[in-house]
Parts: sequence; structure tokens; C-alpha cells
Amino acid sequence: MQGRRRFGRRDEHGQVIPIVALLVVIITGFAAISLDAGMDYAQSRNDNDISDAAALAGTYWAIDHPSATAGASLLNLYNAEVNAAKADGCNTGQCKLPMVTVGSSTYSVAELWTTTTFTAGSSPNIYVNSAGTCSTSASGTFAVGTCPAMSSILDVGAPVSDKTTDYFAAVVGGHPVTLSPNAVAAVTGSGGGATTTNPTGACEICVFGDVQMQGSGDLLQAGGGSIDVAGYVWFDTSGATVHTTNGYGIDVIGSPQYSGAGVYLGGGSDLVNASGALGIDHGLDFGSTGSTVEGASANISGTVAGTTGNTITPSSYGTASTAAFIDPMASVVVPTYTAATTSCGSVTISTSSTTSGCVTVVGSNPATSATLSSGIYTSILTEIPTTMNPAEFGSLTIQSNVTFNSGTYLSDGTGIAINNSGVTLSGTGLTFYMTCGSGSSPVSCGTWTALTATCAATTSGSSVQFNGATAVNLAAPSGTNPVLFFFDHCNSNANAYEINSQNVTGSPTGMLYAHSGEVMMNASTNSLPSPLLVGNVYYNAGSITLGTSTGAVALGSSSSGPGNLVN
Amino acid sequence: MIEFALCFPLLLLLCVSVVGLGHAEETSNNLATVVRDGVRYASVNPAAYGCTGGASATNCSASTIQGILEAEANSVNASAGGVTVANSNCLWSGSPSPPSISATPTPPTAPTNATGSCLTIAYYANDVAGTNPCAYYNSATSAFTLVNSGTCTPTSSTSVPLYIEVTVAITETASGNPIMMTLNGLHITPLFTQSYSMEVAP
Repeated sequence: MQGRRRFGRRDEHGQVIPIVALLVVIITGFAAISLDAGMDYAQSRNDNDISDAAALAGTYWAIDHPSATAGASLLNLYNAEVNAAKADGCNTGQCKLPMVTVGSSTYSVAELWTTTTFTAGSSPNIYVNSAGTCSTSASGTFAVGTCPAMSSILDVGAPVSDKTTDYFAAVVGGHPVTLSPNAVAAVTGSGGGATTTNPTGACEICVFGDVQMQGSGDLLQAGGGSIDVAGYVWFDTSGATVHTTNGYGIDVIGSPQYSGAGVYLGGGSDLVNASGALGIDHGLDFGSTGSTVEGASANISGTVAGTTGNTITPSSYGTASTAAFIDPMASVVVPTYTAATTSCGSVTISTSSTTSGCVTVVGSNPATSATLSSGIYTSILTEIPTTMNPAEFGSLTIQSNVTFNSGTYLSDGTGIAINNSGVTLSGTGLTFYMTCGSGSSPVSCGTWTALTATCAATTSGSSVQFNGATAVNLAAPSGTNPVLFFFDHCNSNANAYEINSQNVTGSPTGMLYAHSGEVMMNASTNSLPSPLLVGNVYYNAGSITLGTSTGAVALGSSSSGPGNLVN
Repeated sequence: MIEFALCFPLLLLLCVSVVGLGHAEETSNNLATVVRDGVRYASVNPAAYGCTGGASATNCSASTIQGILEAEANSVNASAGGVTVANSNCLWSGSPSPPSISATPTPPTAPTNATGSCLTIAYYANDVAGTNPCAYYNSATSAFTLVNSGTCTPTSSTSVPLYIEVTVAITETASGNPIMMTLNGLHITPLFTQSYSMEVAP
């Protein structure tokens, strides 16, 4: 037995070492492959990101220079792509952008689609080389005369040429893999759901009174029409901006405020940036330094003061007066409303509610949701999720989610107040008509029906107040004038549309029209309806954004572009 | 048995190392996703840096750049509880000012806040590599802070392109990862940094 045991141990000697050695080689090999694959994946995605950034930079340049004509050099578009790539570490080492590979040859060219928009597999119509000249073929003859007008450029592409950096594969004779992502971005908008351009056909942001900015990062912008201000623009903060895109201008007719200027940039590092023409009447005053006032062209009438340490572009601006503008909605009649006849009184929708009269409840003790039928309500308070049908109400106080079925809602009293946090408002095909009544019946300037009383020229009427965190997912009907909130011409409520909560989010789509009313923002938000045609705009907090730079009122799903990646 | 007993720790260390390296690679890729999506949002909302609450804020509004970064960080690794990105300035060589725009910025010093993460939202008012920043978001004041005598504002300009770069740095947590636990035991805290920049949309 002893001999057999000794023999057995001798047989086991040295068995583990070769197995472990083999395992070490195998595991190390797998680790090396995994590391190489992981690094290659990261590099591939980084190249995709570089291509994305470059394509968008080229597109942004095209959007910012809509008046460039055919036959003009596109060097700056090419450089925009190159510089974006450099900023993310390309164009050093093996990474090259823009770089097209044809066969065994490479060409440093940006890509343009001009006859049809990009589709998967489609080839560019025009290539732009490092001299800013163009050709219909990457390997063809380049000439500046071949370059297209900016208005005909639909999409811009930014191809990358790169190779993976293999660390371990090279040891066993592996070769680097070629990486060639090619992002394409849209210059013009396309696709998406029902989308309409600025329905006013004129100003997208029309302020019939004054604009006052009180917080850093405040922004007033438009991309589908001009920004027109009948009164003054007062930057009472640093780091605030008024700007337009897509070639649209900014007009400030001006009315002197405390500095005596139509535009007063009091905080420093403020920006007035017009993609098109800039016109300022009643003077311009820089109350601090580091601010810029610029436009594709500019006319500034009146006194220009405090220019030291500030910039006006072009420096050789004109001094012509700026023409006054009119309310593009002045002749538009108030929203169509089918007067309800059922009187519903005052209702409170809560967990203890039961089905009765105009209220239909789901669930019993507790009720879980409710539906309100069309009718005339003195007041409504919702404490549980509620679905509403078009109705007339004095006050609508919301403390839980509300879904509005399509149609016109009319307030003849104090209006709408969201008094709780975490509320979602949703619905499409909606118009909220906020009359200048403050009692129990609709009151209008006289363009209403025979049922309504006529209010004074300016009467403080119904308002919309956001006093809690609210997701505003409301959309206006499609049509010529997609108005989401229509404040009567004579409703002069100083807080007609008021943001009092930090977290008002969502994408309200459609116009906010309040000719005599004021938009008051006491908290940061970027979720206000656009276009915006209002009496006054008061930014009473920082980082507030009004308007969009894309210049479209999306009434369905989002459109693709301008400035969006399509590949 | 003796040989196996000697070899087993080596094998175990090798296997754990492979898992640890894979986890590190995953973390790095997750961070790249977070930064990329944050910058894309920032390029069209360059002024949306207004998360209030200072450095300790970890629940920024979804309509802010920081909120997008935080939400994205939580979603990329949701099954593991997400990645926390604090609204705290990265310290670059002892200063809160970000470095020149670059593909491979010098990593910030390790975050010193409790959650082990930091971010920088920096603005570059020019379009070439090596340009110094003109401003950055300052979480201490929730404000736009000019640096290098910069005069930029957080929007695009027709005269000078504005770039925005987001850098996020996180320290790898040790929980459940024997490699990180070992490194932490040796007072080594792995730091992951990702940066990405884009031109601001007009």
C-alpha cells in the first residue's frame, strides 16, 4: 500500500505547473483581447463624437451665414469642421478630419448635400477642400465657382479617417482597423410631425412694451422671425443675451428708461446679437464693460454712450431710425368658443368625490381620477388626476395631473393656478382664452360674442400662475395661428403669465399672445410657449430662456433640424 | 496539492485583475456617454448651467446642463445604482479655472467632495486647439465666471464661434470590487476623467 501511495504521489508531481502555465497564457490572452477591443471601441466612439461635433460646426456656420452666394469661397465652413475636430483632439496623429477615402487615395474635403437631403448610402453633391473651393467629386477639379449658395445647402457631412491603436494584437501580428465615421447634419429643417414656421410672418418675439433682465444667463432668442421691442431693453445684470438666428434681425424702437437709452447694458458682459439687421432707436448706453452689440448690419439712432471696453459690430454702423412695428395679431379675432350652457357651479375633485352633475369619478373612497364635462364652472379645484373637456371657468386651481381634451377653454375670472409640485399638464389641440373679466362672465374688448360684456381699454383679467414644479406638455391646434394662450387684447394683468416655481419644465408648443399683459418670471425656466407676443417681459431670476433658436413651432413630434444630426 | 496551493492565489489574482480592468473600462465608457450627451445638450442650451444649491446639489433640474449630466450618469449604470455626478467644480492644478481646450486635458486633482465626483462646464470663445477658456460655470456661486480677461457670454456669436467643453471626473468606488478595495487599501483612488467639446449652436 505504501508503495502504491508513493507511486501515486510521484505520478501527481508536476501536473499543476503546466496546467497553471497554460491557464495563465489563456487568461492573459483573453485579457489582452478584451483590453484591445475595449480601447478600440472607445476610440471608435470618440471618432464618432468628433465627426458629430465637426458636422454640427459646419452646419452652424452655414446657418449663421444664410446670405452667402453661389461662387463664394466656403473656406470658413471647411475651417469650422477642422477646428471642431482639433478641439476634440483629431487632426493630430492618425485621426484626420475631414478626410474622404476613395480607393487607395484620401482627400481632405468636407461634404455637402445640395439637391436632395442625405439618405443612407447617398453621396454628397459637392465637396469643399482646404482652399474653400468646390468640386462635384472628391478627386475632381476644384474651383470656387462650383461652390453653391448657402440657401441651397441642405446637409453638411464631416468624414473622419482614423486607425485603431492596438496594443496587444500587434504582438501576434494583428493589424489596426480603419475607422471612418461620417456624421451628417441638417442645415434645413425636415421631417418630424406637424411643424409650422413662425405664424406671425413677422416678429417671433414681439414685445409691445419693455424687456427687463435681472439675472445672469437670461436669454431672449428667436430663429423663425425677428425680435421687435416697442419699448426699451434693459440689461440690469451681467451675462444676459438677446439674439436671433437664421438671418433675422432685432429692432428696439426704444423708450427711455432711467439711463435715457433705448438699450441699456448695465451689468457688463451682456450681448445683443442679431443674425440679420440690428436697429436701435433712442440711443444705446453701456453702463459697464465687456458687452457686445452686433448684427450683420446695424443702425443706432440717438446717443451712444460708454463704448470704452465694449464692442459694436460693425463698428461703422448707420444712424437711421428704425421703423415701428405693428401687432401682427391685431386683426385676428379671439378664439372660437362654443358657449357652454350647463351650469356646474363650484367643484372640488378629491379622493372623497363621487359622481354627480358635471363630475364623473373613477373609484370610490378613495376616488382615483375624475372627468369634468363641458359646462360653466364658477371654480374648479383638482386634487386627483383629472380629465377636462372644453369649459368656461372662473378659476381653475390645479394640485394634481390634468389632461385637457382638445378645444377652447375660457377663463372669465382669476384664471389658472398650479399650486402643487409634481403636476403634469397635458393635451393637444388646445387654446386657453384668458379674458379680461375678473368676475363670473366673459369680458372682452368687443370682438367676442353678444354674450360678453365689453371691458375697459386695459383691465386686469385672468392669469396663468405656476406656483409649483410643473411639466407643461400642452400643444396648440395646427392652423394659421396656433395660439396656446390667448389673452384678450385688453387683459392688462401685470402677471398675466407668471412663473413662481424653479422647476417649470416641458415643451408647451404654440403661441403665447398677451398684447397688454406681462410675462413675469420669478424663477429659472426655459419652458415657455413660443412665439411670444406680449406687453412686457420681466426676467426676475437668472438662467431664464424665452423663445427658441430653431424658428419653428412644433405641434407634433420634433422636427429634424436645422442643426440636427441626420446620420 | 502544494503546487496548486502556490499557484491558486496567482490564478485568482489574474482572474480578479481581468474583471477589475473590465470594470474600469466599462466605467470609462459610461463616463464618455455621460459627457457626450451632456455636451450635446449644452451646445444648444449653453446658458442652461443654472443649477442652484451649490457644490452639494445632486438633484439639478432636468433643464440644466448639470441635470442632464446627473440623469445620464444615473441611467448608464442604473442596475448598479447609477453613477453620481456632483455639481462641484473640478480643481485644475489647485485652481477652479479649466485648462486650455484640448483632447487630453490634464486630469483634475481627485475630487475631494464626499461623493467623489466633479464637473467643469467651460466656454472657449475661439475655435482653435490651445485656446484658453474665457469663462466657466462656478458651482459655488451658480454663476458664469469670466477668466483670462474673457468677454464671452454663454451664447453663440456671429463674429467668434463659442465652444463649450464639459469635463466630468469621478473616483471609482471600492464597494464590491476587490481590485478597487485593494487599491483603496493602498491609499490609491483610481480617477476617471472624460472631456468633450462642441461648438455652441447659433
